[in-house]
Amino acid sequence: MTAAREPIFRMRGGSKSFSGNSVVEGVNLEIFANEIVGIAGENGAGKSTTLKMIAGIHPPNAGEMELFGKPFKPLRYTQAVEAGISMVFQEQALIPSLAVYENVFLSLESNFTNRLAIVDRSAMIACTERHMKDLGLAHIDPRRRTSDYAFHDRQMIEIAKAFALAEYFHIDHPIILLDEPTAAIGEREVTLLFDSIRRFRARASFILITHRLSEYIELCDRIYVFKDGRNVGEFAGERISEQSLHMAMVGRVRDEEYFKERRQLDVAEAPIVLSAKGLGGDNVKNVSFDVRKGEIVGLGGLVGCGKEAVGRAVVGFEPFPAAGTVEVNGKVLPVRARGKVAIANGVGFVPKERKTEGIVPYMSVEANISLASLPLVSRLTGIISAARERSLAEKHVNALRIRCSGPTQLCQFLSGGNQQKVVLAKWLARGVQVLVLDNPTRGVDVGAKEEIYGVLRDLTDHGAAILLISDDLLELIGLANRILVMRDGEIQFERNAPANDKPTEQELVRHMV
Amino acid sequence: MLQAWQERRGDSELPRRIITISVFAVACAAIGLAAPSFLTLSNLRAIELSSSVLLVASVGATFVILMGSIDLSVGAVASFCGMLVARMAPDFGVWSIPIGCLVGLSCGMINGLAYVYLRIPSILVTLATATTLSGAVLFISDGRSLTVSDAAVIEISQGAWLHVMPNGVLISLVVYLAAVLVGARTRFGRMTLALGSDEQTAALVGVKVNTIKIQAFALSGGLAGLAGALLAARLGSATATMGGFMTLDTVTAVVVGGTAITGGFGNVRLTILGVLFTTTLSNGLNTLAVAPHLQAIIQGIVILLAVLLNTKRVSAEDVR
Repeated sequence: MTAAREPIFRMRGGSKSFSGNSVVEGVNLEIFANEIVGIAGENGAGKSTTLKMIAGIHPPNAGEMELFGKPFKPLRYTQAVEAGISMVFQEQALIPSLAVYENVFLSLESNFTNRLAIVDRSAMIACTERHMKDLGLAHIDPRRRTSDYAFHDRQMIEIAKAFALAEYFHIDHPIILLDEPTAAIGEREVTLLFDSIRRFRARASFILITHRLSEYIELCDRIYVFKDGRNVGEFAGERISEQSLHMAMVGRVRDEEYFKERRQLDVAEAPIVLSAKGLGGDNVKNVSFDVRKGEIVGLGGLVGCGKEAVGRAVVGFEPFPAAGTVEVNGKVLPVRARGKVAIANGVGFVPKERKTEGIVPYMSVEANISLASLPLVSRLTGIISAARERSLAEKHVNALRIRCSGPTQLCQFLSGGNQQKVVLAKWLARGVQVLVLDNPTRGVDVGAKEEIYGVLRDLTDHGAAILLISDDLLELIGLANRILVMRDGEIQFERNAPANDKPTEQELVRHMV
Repeated sequence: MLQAWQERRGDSELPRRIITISVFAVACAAIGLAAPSFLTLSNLRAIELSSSVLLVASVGATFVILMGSIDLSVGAVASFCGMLVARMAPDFGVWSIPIGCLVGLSCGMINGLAYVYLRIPSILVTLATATTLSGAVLFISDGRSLTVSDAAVIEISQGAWLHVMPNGVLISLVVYLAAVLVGARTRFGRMTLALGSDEQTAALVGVKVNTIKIQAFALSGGLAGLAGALLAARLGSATATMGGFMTLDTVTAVVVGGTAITGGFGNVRLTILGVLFTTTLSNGLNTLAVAPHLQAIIQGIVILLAVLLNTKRVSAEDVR
């Protein structure tokens, strides 16, 4: 790289939309040689999509890219690799049962064949060994099975593979994309990984995505901040701090009408319905809180803070942190078979993964709605009454304005928002006193979101106690009577959020990081 | 009109199903033209009878496949229970049939327990059961075929209480209708489909996932046992391998009936279509006097085509 301050990679106006929904819009990036660049942003800000655009996995709909001074238009990942870009995938892309060297040269074996088309294993091993030595990874034996190595070492193998491939394609300074490399490893391994990346930067540039802001600060020379699919800021050197990053990431305008804030109830005198005391276990430490009748309690925090585990403990969705007690209307829910007892005591749960935990896609809308209340619609013989099931379904389809061609339509063909309403209807059909929601509006369009918020207000009018777990700060602020912020498994901050005194995102963020 | 109906039902599979049924009808007509004996009353009765045994075994297997597992022990359980019935008929008379069913049910239960608690994939558990039982059946029969001469047992298959159809057919239809009801309108039926779609969904509405799994395997085993008993009663004798064809034929029938081999999609109702398809095809080829080896080749190809026509295959959208 002779022209040191000329970027080796450039993206101008990169845009990507999936089935009409714009995910990334007009993103501009520049990557210089020997640089480690971070892309920060909230969930859904378009970070991963941008990496995949660069890697040719999701070619952009619009915009142009330039690599080493030449136009760069990868249509497949392999084309990106040939041009000098490799990605270290979050869910690793190595085949565990193969030897290390076999993984490194997977699909490139033909380069090592002799005249009889027999693969020259020793040449491949020697080449892998040389790369490992160059990268200071001499402890990795190319002949051993990949699955013999720990997750962290396998990451190193992937990075070594990136260098080996770059050499094969005559690229002397590859760009390596790291998609949440620290999501599955402990602190010690993170240190090792970062030390390695700092060493490798002499020979490559890196683009990093992680969900821990502190890691950007520790590792990156420069950070692009994304919000709603656009890059809204660029931080370098002195200006990088967790606060500044997070402030740039959040900061949307909240619409009081949208969250129906006037309908928020005053619950100071209401009886306690849900009470959690001293919840603890994996990643959760001594979490206690109450939810009153008609109250919405918001539970926020960064990904990995333990808020989801708290939700699982309340509803008994295994595995959950088993220490502490959960009480509903004064009745303690046992650890054993907590899920079943919770449902019997009027607890409903809208899970995060709609398609695998919420609905049965190839089942009709009515069958999905009655799924949790079959005894209610069954005759004494245990046979479901078609008429009772139909009227139960129709009641909720109308009440929640579920847009479907009729109660017999398969759920698969509903939009995300309407599927989510079916999940809500499933619990409303049973009659819930406590409703726990984990990111209920993820992947739901704006209109359906507002309707779901309306349903939650209706529920509180009828006296339900709601625990809302969300990554969306605005949603927490707009909906909740009270907000709990978790960090490292503990409740760090609690704030009342009456309609006339809502906190700002910034106020909450301060306690999250 | 078709489109309106389809939209209302939300059933994207409908056109495909109509095509399948039409192709089936045209094929039957063609065979009938080529071999006039195909469409005679006595031949249709023969199709009916051979379908009845397969239908009983297939509706049981449907539940297992719907929840995303597979039962490869259907044929061995049928052979074993059929042989048991033949062996017991002189002493227990007609009661040997329910005993045979219960033995089948227990075999299925063992499959289910091993699948759930030993966490062995169902394909391996049932394969092991099948192998064991195919040895056991030789043990109880000394390797010979047994004649079923008990009049009451024969009556169960070949008599005609209703005059319009043999009892074997009647029993299989009753079993089929009951299974359709169970599949569509009971908690067990709903939960097998939910399980096949995703276990978490079922677990989160408070279902004991393991119980449903064991029940489904027990049902499949019990009905395989009944199928074996009916087969022995129909043939008037039992051999050690008589049910063997059922293992793969049930899978074929279920899949041709539109149920996804991966579970989570399909129903018991249409399994009858797959059963009729499978038996009519082999009967038709026989009537046409096609050489046996060629029959197998044609069957293989036709099954592939039927599956292509009638089943939902994974689309690019599902992958994303």
